[in-house]
Amino acid sequence: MQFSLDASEREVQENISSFLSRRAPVSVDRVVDLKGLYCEMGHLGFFSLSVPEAAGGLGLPFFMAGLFALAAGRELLPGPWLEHLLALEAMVAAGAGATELSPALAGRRLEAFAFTEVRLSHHPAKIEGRLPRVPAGVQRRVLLASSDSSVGPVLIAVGTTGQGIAEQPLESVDLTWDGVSVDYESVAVESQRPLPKHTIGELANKAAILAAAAAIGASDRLLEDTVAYVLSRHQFDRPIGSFQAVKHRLADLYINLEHVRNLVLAALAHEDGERTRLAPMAKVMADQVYRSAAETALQLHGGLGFTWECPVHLYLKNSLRLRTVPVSSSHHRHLVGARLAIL
Amino acid sequence: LDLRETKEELAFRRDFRQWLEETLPGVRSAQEPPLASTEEQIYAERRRFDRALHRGGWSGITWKREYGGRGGSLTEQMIFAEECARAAAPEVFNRGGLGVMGPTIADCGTEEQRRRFLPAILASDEIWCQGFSEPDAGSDLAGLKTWAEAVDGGWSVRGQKTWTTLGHFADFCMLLARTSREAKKHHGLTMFIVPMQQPGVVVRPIRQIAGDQEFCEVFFDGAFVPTENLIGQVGDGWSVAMVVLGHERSTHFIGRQVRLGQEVTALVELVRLKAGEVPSELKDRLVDVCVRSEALRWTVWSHIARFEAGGRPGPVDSATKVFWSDVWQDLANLAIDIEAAVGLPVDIPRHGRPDWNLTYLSSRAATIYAGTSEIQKNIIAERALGLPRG
Repeated sequence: MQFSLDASEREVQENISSFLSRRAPVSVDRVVDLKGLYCEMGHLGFFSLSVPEAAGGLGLPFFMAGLFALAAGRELLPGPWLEHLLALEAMVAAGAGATELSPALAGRRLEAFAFTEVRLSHHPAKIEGRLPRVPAGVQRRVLLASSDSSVGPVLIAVGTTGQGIAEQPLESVDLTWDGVSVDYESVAVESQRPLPKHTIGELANKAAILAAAAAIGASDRLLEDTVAYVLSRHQFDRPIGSFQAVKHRLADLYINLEHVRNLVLAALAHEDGERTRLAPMAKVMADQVYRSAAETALQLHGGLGFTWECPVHLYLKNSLRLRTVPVSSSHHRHLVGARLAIL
Repeated sequence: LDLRETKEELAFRRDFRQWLEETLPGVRSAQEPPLASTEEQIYAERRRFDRALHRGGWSGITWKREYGGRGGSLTEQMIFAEECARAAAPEVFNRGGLGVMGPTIADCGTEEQRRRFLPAILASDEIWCQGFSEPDAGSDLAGLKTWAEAVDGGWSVRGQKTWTTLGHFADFCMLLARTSREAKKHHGLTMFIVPMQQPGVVVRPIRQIAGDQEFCEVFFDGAFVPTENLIGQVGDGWSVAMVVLGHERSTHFIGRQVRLGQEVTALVELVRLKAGEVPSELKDRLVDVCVRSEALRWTVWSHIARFEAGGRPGPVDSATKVFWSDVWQDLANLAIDIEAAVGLPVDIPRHGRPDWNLTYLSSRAATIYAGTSEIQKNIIAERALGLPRG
């Protein structure tokens, strides 16, 4: 057992982090050309990390996708990166090949997976249904569908424009993520594939762990920025970071963050049933720590922390959305309890 | 990350598990399992376990072979703790000697000291205690007043130590004392090995809130320490003390984490039995405790990886000390709340189950001993986060 990042893992993490902090550093007035940014990330292989080589990816462990999520969370990477990664994971699980995946791997086509199930009818294949809350600005959606004639779940891909598709923009508390609701009325699908039933649970685990990893990256950044702030801000002729009340709040954050980090890394590193056990645990704790990190950062930035110009609110608002990805914290808490057989 | 157990680790686990199965029946008290063993019976059992470990070659897992240890890895130490927990083995009696004081002598002692003291620690023939805290020097350890004066052939010690674990059984005390009144606070200290069996040493056990007497007050009134019992140089006591605390805050925590995991499992089993009666709010708290206990477990693995790669104890170990004590207290608080909610302990046999009231009381000490949470947070703020001293 060797519970520490090896050299290649550290290198991947540093490369992604330094690219994102150069190309799209977090700030309150950040304007990002999402299409261009996602193309560059695709070109650098960020979406290919854990996709098998046979499907056109780099064939690395899922752990590497987690390192990407850590870096994405740190810089509050805008857009549907998580749903895009899940779309790729889902398509791979359903047996899609390199040709079909290549536009998404290259970042030329943004895709988004949603767990919401729609109704599928056959000859010709058309869907009906409603997605209450999915990311805006993608070119293709990857959805779960059920029909009377299919035995198990079906994975379908569907475009985002055309006859029968109605997208309505949603208010999103998170300024780094735009959402829409989508209604489908007899919409033709681009592709459909049977999906092994157990893969839905695996996708849910992966979604939870990636969101948890993003929460860790974001919390790291909040801690660093807040430490820098309390060192620079002086009151009573001394840095406010020299007051024990301030120091202990930051120490508390450090303590929780160091421990949840290892839980998330463990969840990322396991490939088997242990991942199923650890994923909801990692998500429950990461949600708690991220939110308290943002609240601590806000408090210690004082009056500034409550203003629009200070980036802390971007993280706080992101934490409020991230805790609902892929489902609520309370659902994950329920999963942990169910597994312990105490409910 | 590579989370697979190596062939050697698997073999270690298998061999030790088998040894425990064969050996433990002979170690346990004849009266076991009663409702309550006396403190003396528990100590006797722990001593028997130490001796059996030594005979079986399982004492000093991470100690170097040249000092009689197994020369094993910290991973093996973790497996050792996990298997002891699994088999509900007694706690190691000479815990401080094996986990903290012995390794400090190996790190900082002379070759003669290593030859003289390490084998007897390993065999638990000689029990060790640690003389650091004083009535007026707790968190401000360097403010201690116990005074050692050079005399013919050695040193004469006067003063009082307190919260001395196992002081009443100890043969030797690793004692931090002041040897200079002129030098600045941290520079006037020296570390000694004090023989406890002599007229100048009086030990008085302190009854703790859980009723047991693990701690003692130790009074030194002209106790003699021969010159060869000095660890490091005169005036170097603080740096030796940091080595001691380093061992206390790092490797020592392997066992604590594993025991906590065991108690979490016991509480989960209790709630499972009473699932219909435990309010959902208490179950939510149990989920939180389980989650944090799991996070602690993986963090201990990350510490092991760091130490095995040559890392030194640091502020992140303080973080684990605080985290562990908080989770333990939350677990104990929750356990007595659950018992109160379901009307226990009345209708489930006590056998094999922790006495949660005692656990609750004992756990209150965890945020105080081995460096209070408040001091640990100062250490973290200053050394991990780079914040200035207040």
